[in-house]
Amino acid sequence: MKKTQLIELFCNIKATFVSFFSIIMFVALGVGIFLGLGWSADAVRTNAEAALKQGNFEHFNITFPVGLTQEDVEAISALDGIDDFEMGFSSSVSFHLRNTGHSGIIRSLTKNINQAQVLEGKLPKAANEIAVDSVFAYSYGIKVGDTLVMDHDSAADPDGMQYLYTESYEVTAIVTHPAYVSSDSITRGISTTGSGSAEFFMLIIPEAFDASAFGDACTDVYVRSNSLEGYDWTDQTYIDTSEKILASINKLGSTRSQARIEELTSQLQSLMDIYNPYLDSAQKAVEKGTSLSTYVDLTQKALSEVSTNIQNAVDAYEDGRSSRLLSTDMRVKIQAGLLAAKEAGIDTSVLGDYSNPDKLEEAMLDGSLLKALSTCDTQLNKLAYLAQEAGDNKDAQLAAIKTVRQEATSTIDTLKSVENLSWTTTGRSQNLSLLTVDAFKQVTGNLRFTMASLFLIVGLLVCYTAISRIVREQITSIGTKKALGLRRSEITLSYLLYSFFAVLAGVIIGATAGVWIVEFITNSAVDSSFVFGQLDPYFSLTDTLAIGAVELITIWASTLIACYSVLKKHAVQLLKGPEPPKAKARFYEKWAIWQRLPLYTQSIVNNLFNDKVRVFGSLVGIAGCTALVVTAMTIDLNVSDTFTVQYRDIYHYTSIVQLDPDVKDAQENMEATLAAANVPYAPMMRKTMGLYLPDGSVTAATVEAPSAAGKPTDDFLTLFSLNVTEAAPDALNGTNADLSYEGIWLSEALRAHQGVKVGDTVRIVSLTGEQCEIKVAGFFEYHLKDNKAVLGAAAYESLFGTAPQANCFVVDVSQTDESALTKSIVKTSGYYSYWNDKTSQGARFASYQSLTRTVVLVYLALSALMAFLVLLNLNVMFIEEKKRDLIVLMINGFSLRDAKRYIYRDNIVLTIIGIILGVLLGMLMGYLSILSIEFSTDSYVHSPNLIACLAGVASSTILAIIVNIIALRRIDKFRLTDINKM
Amino acid sequence: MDRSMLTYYKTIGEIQSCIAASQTLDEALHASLKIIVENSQAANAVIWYLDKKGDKKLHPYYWISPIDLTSKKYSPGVGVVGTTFANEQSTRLLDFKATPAEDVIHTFEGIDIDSVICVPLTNAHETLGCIEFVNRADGNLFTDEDADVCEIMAMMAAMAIDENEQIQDPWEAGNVLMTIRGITREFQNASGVVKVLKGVNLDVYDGEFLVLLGESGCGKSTLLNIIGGMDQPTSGTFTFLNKDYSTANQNELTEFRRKNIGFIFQSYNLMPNLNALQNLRLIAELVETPLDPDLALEIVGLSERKTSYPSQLSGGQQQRVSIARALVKNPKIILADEPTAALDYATSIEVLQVLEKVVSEGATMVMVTHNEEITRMANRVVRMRNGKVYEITVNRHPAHATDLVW
Ligand SMILES: Nc1ncnc2c1ncn2[C@@H]1O[C@H](COP(=O)(O)OP(=O)(O)OP(=O)(O)O)[C@@H](O)[C@H]1O
Ligand SMILES: [Mg+2]
Repeated sequence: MKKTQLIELFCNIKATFVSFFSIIMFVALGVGIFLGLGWSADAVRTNAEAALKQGNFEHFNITFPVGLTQEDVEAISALDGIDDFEMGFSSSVSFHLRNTGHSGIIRSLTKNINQAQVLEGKLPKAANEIAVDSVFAYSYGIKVGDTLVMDHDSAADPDGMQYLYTESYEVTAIVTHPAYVSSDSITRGISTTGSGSAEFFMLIIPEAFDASAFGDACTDVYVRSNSLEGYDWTDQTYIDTSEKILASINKLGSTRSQARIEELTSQLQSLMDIYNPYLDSAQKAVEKGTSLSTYVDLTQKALSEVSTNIQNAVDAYEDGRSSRLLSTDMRVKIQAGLLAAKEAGIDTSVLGDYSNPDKLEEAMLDGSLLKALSTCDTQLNKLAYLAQEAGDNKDAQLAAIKTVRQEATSTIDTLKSVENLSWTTTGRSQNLSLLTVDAFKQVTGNLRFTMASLFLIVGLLVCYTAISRIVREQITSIGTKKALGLRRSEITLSYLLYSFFAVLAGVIIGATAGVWIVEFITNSAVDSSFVFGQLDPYFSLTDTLAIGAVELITIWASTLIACYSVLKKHAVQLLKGPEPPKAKARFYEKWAIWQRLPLYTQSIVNNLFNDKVRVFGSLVGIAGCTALVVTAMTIDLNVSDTFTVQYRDIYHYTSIVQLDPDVKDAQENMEATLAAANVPYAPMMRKTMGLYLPDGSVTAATVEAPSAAGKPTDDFLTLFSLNVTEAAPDALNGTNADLSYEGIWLSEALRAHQGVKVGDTVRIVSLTGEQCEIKVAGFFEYHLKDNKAVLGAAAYESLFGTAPQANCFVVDVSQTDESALTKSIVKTSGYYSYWNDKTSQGARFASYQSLTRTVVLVYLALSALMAFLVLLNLNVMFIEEKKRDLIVLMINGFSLRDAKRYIYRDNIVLTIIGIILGVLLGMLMGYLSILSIEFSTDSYVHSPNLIACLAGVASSTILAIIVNIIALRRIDKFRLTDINKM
Repeated sequence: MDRSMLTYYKTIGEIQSCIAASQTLDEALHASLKIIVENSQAANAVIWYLDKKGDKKLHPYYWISPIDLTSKKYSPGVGVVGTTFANEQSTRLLDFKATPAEDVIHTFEGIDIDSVICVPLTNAHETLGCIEFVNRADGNLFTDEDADVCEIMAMMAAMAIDENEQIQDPWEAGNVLMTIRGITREFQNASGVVKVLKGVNLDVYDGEFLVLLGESGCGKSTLLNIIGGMDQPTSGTFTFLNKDYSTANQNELTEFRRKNIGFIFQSYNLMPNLNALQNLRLIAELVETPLDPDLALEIVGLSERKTSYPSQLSGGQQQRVSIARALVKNPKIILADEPTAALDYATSIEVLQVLEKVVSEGATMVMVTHNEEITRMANRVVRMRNGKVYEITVNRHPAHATDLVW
């Protein structure tokens, strides 16, 4: 490149600085937004990835509520692609903190896979030590050294705490866990206790779990695969490999789980075989007049004596103190014990026929006798508990016996009925926390593409107009150059360099702004959503170069197009100078109506028809700005409206009172308290359950059912409007959902995002194993961030065999003094927990909105800047182009004001058309943007937002006015005498 | 023989040969006066002659002066010119400041008078008028020798009249529309102040076709801009229908342009997005009593092309639309800056024909041109030189556009 060419290039830049600067800005904006938002998602992803790596996070998690045996685990580890595994326990747990119950998940600490990161304190070493979820600990003020006492026996888990040895724990650590990188408690999953959703995770040593509660098996297996090492879970390679492994695990699971269920069923059956005679004899004893408690006491005493003796004998034998297992003495003692039991009315035959010493000895040695005894003891505990409740009442005692009998048989029945119950294997892509990472990436990804392409298009437009203008202005000098023998390519080079420098500067500024501004803003809005603390910013040179190349190629293309028509001409033609604008007769001039239009209108129409670049540019600028504002505001307002709509049109309650199932008459007591407070309320059964969708996927849903038909259902429906979006015709009562219909009502997101249809059959599975299949009656509007399913009382009963048991009340406290009410609620016997659902859901929306709002603000600021630059640029260029016309008009007596009006009346028309297009586009983009940020369970308000539209109109109008004022000021400086020089 | 005598004989020779070569009386007088002025070193020279048939007053027939004398006149016996004529005796006010004459000061309002000579223009039969010389170009006073030379030269010139036919009737000037007095215009540029107009005096009369001529850069466009209300003089006065616009504000100037002035540009400057008729209507809407745009187009002979856009018209046609646009305002004056410069001969003639027609129908036109031939069409030709009016010629027989050849 020769020096003179360089000088010429810089002269060009100087002459068209506004355009040059605009191109830089648009490239920078496009690049900055595209990279910044993308990198923000990448920053979240890489930070998550780092956390997963640091915690040696599982690739797959296999759980089976009825336990995974040692053989299961061995079979899993033998599978292709499984390189590492670790067994663990997890279960639901609940505890009270300052009177209020909390539910969550308790897991065993692991040695290798899934290592927790300690933020404070030390990991538990002893069975009574516990590590607590940092998010939960910080929000409830739990500190290292605190003592947490787990609830004993909760309704959701009839087996109570039997899988934990200890109830009381000392908090030794505040931790994060790779399975829970999101700070949103919704990602903690579901719990069988409390409201059904887990609020936290806690970690204890594996030894603190009583494996026998899970049939000597573990509940979880965590596995890792080397073949997935080094890949991001969103990589296609990862997904493909992961799917293969998942398929093989599931295949194994379906056979092994069946075997396990059969085994458990037969175990249970044999247990029942042991147990039933007790119950028979207990019944006999009660009928004879012995109290059930006495019977149980005696039996337990006798059994424990027998087992002590057996234990002693076995110990002595093993110590070598006795060469024979059964000394005569011992045999006498055992048999005496058995006799005593028999005398107490116990049918000792349940222990087998041990009159034969050899058989007895064998049973003692292989432990089966002791086990049988301990099983009996465990089962008797339940009876003892019920006996205490029944007191002296004979009928109650008999009923208690009947309950125990029924419960056992129903467990077997359930187990038998669960034909398809299999392992639940989740890969990383189903991890709820990682799903929020994906969601963020998806949301930002959608936004960055729309926004960046908008800026790119506008940048191209600006570039095109700038280059066209330069070329037109230099038409004679181009002609001279051509005449002097310069080749077309040599002349073009100068313009390509012009745009190259603009793109170069733009990309550098954009990438810098992407890291330091966009990423900084978004990251600081996002980092509270995750547990990594402050996010490390992400930067990628490859991305920068790639987007830079795209910008350069497209801008070059527009440059070439802009100068092509001029450069292809012959020197002679060019030397004649620029051709004047060519207007020609238009189709509309033949219309009769045209003739009757005032000149004013005619000239506007003609101006607009003849100046396509300006019209197009202005429309893009104004419509783009309006659309961006409308879109941004729609996203923001609709997200917050969503919350409003939910608590205005759907939920008419604010709070939930969870009942303590262990307290008798909890429901009646609470109802009395609520009735006294004169607040609207409704009792209901509310549980989080697994929902198997027709496509085979499984998700969690909060299942709610009014506690009975009649008034409870009516109260339920007053507090929870089921606004049907689609339903089976016979499931409707007029336009309302008919809760007596034998079907399940699902929240709208399941239809919109999961493809569930009316009439499909879904399977719901409670964590305690009850499950059933049910037809989808229809869908209702629902906007909170979970799946919701509603069952009528009758439908529930016919499905689960029992009427829905109220475990909570929904209450509207908005018209009352909430603190006074909660005081009396807390004092009511049967209170478990109380929370203002509206407030907590509001907080969740607010935290989500802090993210969308940031994006929205960036959006708005940029759109204003963009529109300002485009419009100013266009207007200035337009006024410069029209300078001659304007001066001629002013010479002829147009006042300054007339001359300005000549320009701005076109602009008014353009602005109006642009705004109308922009509002339409904005409504469409708003709708699509909201759809694009809806993820899994999200269902936001989709309707166009009037305020957003008005804001778009207002901001574009103001912007257009400002731009016009600035641009029109140029006319003040026009000198009429310049007419001689043009 | 001294130097002055030499000049004197030389001049006489020149005048003789010039008169011999002249076709018409006008030409002879113009040429002689030019020679006289060159040799007498006079800054201003005027030939006054008696309108015998008309008002019996002395009218300026031809002059070289930055002052527009067109409508000045003297009665015989009155003032320096009148007495010179009546007495057939030259008047020598060599040191004018010592013996000032009010009528001269009035006639040459705008210049500072130092020295005046007025000699009778007498042929064999009668006194036709006189020749007045004002100020020497070099700033000195006239000497008696100068006066002698002038007398002789006037005699020579009178002989020319004698040998040719009668002197023409004076040109009937209309009312003064516009008066320009002592207008200067300076521009500030990088190297300092450039004086472009250095004191221009001119009157524009109703219904005349005035052509401004002068070498490039002498300030014609600058002057036109000022009288068009597009620019303002640095000093001097510019009145239009007795209203002074030299210090008018922008609004007044806009109003002035809107009501009074029609413009025709070299490069047509039509609104490209409006068709011919719309271009006219746009301007017509500015004034209270516009000419019907259709009629205006008919005048310029473009009724057929009403709906054509500028890009669909030839240069000549565009210029005709541009003339129609100027007409449509019904302006008091039409200003045209080199309207034919961009056109070829044939089209120029077309356009000039239209202009001729327009003037003949009563319009006043001030036109700048480089084309000497076009001056033949004008009523008056104002020649500018170096930022001043150098001479103003009244064309008593304006040619028709169709007669022009170049
Ligand atoms: N705005 C200005 N600033 C500085 N100088 C100017 C300006 N306008 C005109 N001039 C100078 O004034 C002088 C007269 O210009 P003007 O355009 O009046 O000439 P002209 O007689 O119309 O010439 P031409 O016949 O070439 O059109 C020129 O020397 C020009 O450079
Ligand atoms: Mg000029």
